[in-house]
Amino acid sequence: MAEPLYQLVYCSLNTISGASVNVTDEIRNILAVSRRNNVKVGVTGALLFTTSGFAQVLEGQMDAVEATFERIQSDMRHSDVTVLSFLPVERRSFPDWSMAFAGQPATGVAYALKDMFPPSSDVEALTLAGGKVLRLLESAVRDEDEPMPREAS
Amino acid sequence: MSDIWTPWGLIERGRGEPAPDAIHASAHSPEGLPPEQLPLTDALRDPLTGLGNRRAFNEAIEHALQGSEDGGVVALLMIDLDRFRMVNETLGHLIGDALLCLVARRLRQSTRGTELVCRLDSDEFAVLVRNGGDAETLADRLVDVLGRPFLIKGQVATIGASIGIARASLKDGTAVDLIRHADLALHSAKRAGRQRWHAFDPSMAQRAEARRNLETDLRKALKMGEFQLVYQPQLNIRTHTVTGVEALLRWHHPTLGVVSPDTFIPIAEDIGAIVAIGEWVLRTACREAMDWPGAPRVAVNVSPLQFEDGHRLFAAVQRALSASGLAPGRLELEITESTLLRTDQGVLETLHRLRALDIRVAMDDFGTGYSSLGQLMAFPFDKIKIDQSFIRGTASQVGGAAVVRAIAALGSSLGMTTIAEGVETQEQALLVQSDGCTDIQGYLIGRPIPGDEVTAMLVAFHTDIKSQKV
Repeated sequence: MAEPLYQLVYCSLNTISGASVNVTDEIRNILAVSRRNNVKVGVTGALLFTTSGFAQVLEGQMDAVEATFERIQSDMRHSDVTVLSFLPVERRSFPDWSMAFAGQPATGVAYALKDMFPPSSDVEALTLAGGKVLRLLESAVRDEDEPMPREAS
Repeated sequence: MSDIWTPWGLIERGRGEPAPDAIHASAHSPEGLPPEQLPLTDALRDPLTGLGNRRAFNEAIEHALQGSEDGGVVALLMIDLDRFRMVNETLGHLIGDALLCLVARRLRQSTRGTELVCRLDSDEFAVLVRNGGDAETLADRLVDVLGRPFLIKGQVATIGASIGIARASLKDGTAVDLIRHADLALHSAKRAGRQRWHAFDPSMAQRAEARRNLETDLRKALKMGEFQLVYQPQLNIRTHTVTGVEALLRWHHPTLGVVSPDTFIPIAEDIGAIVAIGEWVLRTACREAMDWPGAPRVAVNVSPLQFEDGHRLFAAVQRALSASGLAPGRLELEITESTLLRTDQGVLETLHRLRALDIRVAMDDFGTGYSSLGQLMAFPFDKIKIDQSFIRGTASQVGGAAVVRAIAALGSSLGMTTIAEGVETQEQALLVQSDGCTDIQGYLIGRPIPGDEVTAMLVAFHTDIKSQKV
């Protein structure tokens, strides 16, 4: 029997400073590393970037998601990491993406990520915000990102 | 132990995992680097996290301070996890242990190579920095990373860290001082609200010493007869009679003079002296109240800690009454909201037993803490004392008056007396009267006076009323 799938939704504030070319490089770098790592451990997901912050969905087996998050959380390119939801799920929302990306400034996806931050540490409010982020990412990814097939693992 | 820094330094540079993590061991291994064995003997290693243990820590500090090859400074970061106990209790010990392993991992990853990371106790960690120059930067980073969420076996845990930093020079520092100073700084960080670091400064040691001296003196104060009760009248606004007199505790310190109860009561509660002091107050107040003309009530403050042993409190009240001969109906106990926050059933049970003796119970300082209507419903109080912060505001702030009116209306419908504390001016008295308060207390009515002046005060009030009526 396959181990249960878990899905994590978190958001954080962007602490990358400097010119936009620098930011673009950093984001490209983040994506490349995360795609490489995720493929190895069967994690899929999506990353939303705006100038104010990140929102990310990670999904896979519990241990793999936890280990991936543990690596990501310590990254000093973001701060105020807030877990919106971390729950078992029936199926993946981004099965075909080792890490889909939404937020290239050119495409005009300019979400005010701050507005999506829940006002409290209330679990219900967080989960609600998590659902919002997830739907936002699903639609943004449909609009923006080319599927990047996962390597067989 | 001469090479104690070096092998750990290699490990700290991220060459591998010193001990198998309870979880994620394989998933977390830095890529391409096989796990390496820590050159710590079992006697020096914390078996859960693989960090150095307390013994390793002690030896390393001694070694660092004895080392003469380096004229630098050793910095010590004492780290205490915030809310760890709550995680342990709500999510269980397995999750708690896994969390400690992740904390250890984040500590190791945040340090550079010359630091020694140890676990001293359940949720106490220490980092020893050989060259203490960037201890503050490291502390910033540790507070940050330990405040980030942890995912453990399908659960989310959010804790935090408080850190105390101290330094000792290799020449003149001692291990004992270094640890003591870091602990003082840690204590200061926790008191300031946790999730932060504080660096030691000498004023912390001075404050700690002053506090220690005060503790020592406070333990002796009862025997030395340094306590005194002073009394402040409570007036019924309508009848202009003194309905009660509140007993207030004063401590006459032999060298410091009068020490404020705000200073010494918390200390007495911390060191457990409050129970004996509270019993002395009960005895003394009951005895002194016996002589008062007109038989007003005497109100005595009871600490929440006295309710921890409800039987002892009940017995002390009984003894105070029987020794003095005071009618139980003249004794009023003032309890604070925090007393009822102790959710155990024992507090209410004790209150009901006291009430059965015909003793009155007042809710003190209402409106300041976790005031809730639920608390007023939890027990049929005889009196609500409205905190003076609302009264001082009544002259100028509409909000304060609204609160006073609301509490007075509530008291009226629940059949409780409502007394406004801290009334200082005629204007405030008129306002709280129009807001519906039945009684007032404060400088307008009378300042606290020694026990032997109470009779004269009561007679004067009595005469005043007679002369007003004439």
